Amino acid sequence: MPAATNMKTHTHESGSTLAMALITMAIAAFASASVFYVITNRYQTTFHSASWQESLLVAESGNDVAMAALNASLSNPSTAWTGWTPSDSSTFPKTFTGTFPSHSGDGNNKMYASVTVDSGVTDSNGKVWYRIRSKGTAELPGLRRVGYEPVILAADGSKNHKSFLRKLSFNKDVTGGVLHLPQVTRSIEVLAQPLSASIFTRALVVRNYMSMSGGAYTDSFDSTDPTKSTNGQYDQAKRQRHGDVASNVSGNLSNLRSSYVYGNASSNGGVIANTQNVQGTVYNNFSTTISPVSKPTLSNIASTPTTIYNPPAPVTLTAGTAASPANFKLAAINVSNGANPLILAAPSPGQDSYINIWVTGNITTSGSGFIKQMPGVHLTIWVEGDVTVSGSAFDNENGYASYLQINGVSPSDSSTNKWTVSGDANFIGVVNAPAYALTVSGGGNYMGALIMLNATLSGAAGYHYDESLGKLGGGGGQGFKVASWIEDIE
Amino acid sequence: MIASGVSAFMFAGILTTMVTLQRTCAGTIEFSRGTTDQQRALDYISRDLHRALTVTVSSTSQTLTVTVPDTYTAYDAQGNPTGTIVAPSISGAKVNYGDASKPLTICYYLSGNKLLRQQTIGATNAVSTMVIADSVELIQTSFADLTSVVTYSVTFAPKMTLADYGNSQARTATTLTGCTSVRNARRD
Repeated sequence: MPAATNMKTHTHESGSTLAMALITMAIAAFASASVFYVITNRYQTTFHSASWQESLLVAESGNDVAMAALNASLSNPSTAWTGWTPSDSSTFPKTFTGTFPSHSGDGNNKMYASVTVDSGVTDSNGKVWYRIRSKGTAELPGLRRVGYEPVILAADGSKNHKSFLRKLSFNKDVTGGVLHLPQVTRSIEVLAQPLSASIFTRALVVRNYMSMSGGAYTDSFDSTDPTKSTNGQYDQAKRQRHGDVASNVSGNLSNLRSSYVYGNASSNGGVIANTQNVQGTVYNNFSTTISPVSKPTLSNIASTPTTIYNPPAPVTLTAGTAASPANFKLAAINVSNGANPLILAAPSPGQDSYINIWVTGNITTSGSGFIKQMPGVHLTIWVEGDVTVSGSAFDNENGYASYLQINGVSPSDSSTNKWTVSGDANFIGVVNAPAYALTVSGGGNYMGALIMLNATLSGAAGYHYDESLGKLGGGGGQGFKVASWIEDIE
Repeated sequence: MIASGVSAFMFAGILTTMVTLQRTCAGTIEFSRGTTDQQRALDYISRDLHRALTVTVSSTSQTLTVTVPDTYTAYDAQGNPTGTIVAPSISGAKVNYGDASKPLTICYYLSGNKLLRQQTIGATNAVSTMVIADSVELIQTSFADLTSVVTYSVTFAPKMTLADYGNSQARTATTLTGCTSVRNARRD
């Protein structure tokens, strides 16, 4: 009996211990399972978020494909749209569907874009802006289930079911098509703007460095827009913020010395010093092609004059028509006496007329000497020597920069020339002299645009870019850029 | 007596284990919820910044206000788009959707423990406010306007231990930062 009693007691103790162990394990397992369940849901959500982000990257890649095709169509219209439907050069809309390489490791393993490009948007000048709609899709890794995505609540506590941030498709896509794997899709719409063929798209572009000090500043106006100019002229009260400056080399060589730039400041890598007062954006990813300026090819060059050097009396050159401009080739222009200026006159007052002047030597104005460009005269100058302006300089009576272009011819031996301005007179025109080192110490106003080798601007001059210059030469000639970006969030 | 003592010791051990396990579970779940809410907040903000026309960061860096084009023909009472995307028009060098002078204004700000997204439809003045993150106590945001790039960060206070609650160092360890390039040329 005692043995039996002992055995019974032992069985009770063993059973209690086992029960306690099982209960403890069950509680621990239940608690662990609860945690794992919640964590798995969050983990799933993390993958959903990553795929949702990736689908935007895919949509942007689709847009990049379209932009590449648009830009390629300028130079190779017959092959630019290979892979698109239709693939010819002129039929729109076009569609493209492509699968993009996926990343390795965790996450989805298939991403593809569907892109449509149509030409249904035009601006007031009749130029086509291409509308690119790109839909990026990324497959969702993991199980076919929602992670931790609580219903979004309005501030009053009501549920807002339509406001799910990440609209995931598990069984059917938005068209009702049955899905092999769950996926997420994001759609963007981009407008591609045709860029101007004009080379004058900024207030100042230099091949090398730029240095600003002494109160020099840049801004912009638009001589063709009365809201951005007054009677076609710069008006500080209507100042615009497209007075961009750009260097085509490392920004480490340039120093703005806190000068005000009402626009962007760009460089080709590096860091421009002292950009505190740049009112736009400072970029260091600027790169452009600045072509050297060649000597002109002029026909029917007038036999006289052959030079204008401190003339004893005013010299008048009369312009011709657009089809038959008046062409002159001069050894130099040097005017120093305001009583005897160089006058560029129209055949009749105000008549649209044209003069081309090729100066093989220097251009110098000093003292009270000046060059007067009468209304209606379109003047283009090519100069091979140095330019020195210290007098009242250049009087463009048209008032528009597009009427005067001075080209500094690039020396064949890659040497550089000087362009020195020390007067306070205004200048209205554009200068394309990528082999000329510009030094300005005067305090005048420059309306137009400058392309130089480098620029040292130490006077309190204002450089006012005329935005209408960007429209010269038509549109699309230099490709397309993204002008707007929206996402379809519905 | 000895058996009672041993049993009491064992029960105390089990109880302690259970309490610790529960607190660990709760802390882990809170942390996970906080991370998920952070992700959602960052995703909402980045989505709106991508398409923004103007960006304004308050002086305290706690409020972000953006305007986005009014791209849809219709919205429901809660501010969700229900119509189709309107055709864009060109004015000068600008692309406009709908009435360019009446964009959508979206404001992110904190109210109590909630991160709110308030949307005002300029054309109708309809205002709708959503709770972007409400499951995390002591969530904080910060925005910095770097002109074409806007950075923002979201932190929350983990509650793994009582000492973590409101602990600034513990909060720092939870910071998630987003950096979004505004795709459109800004109009502000």
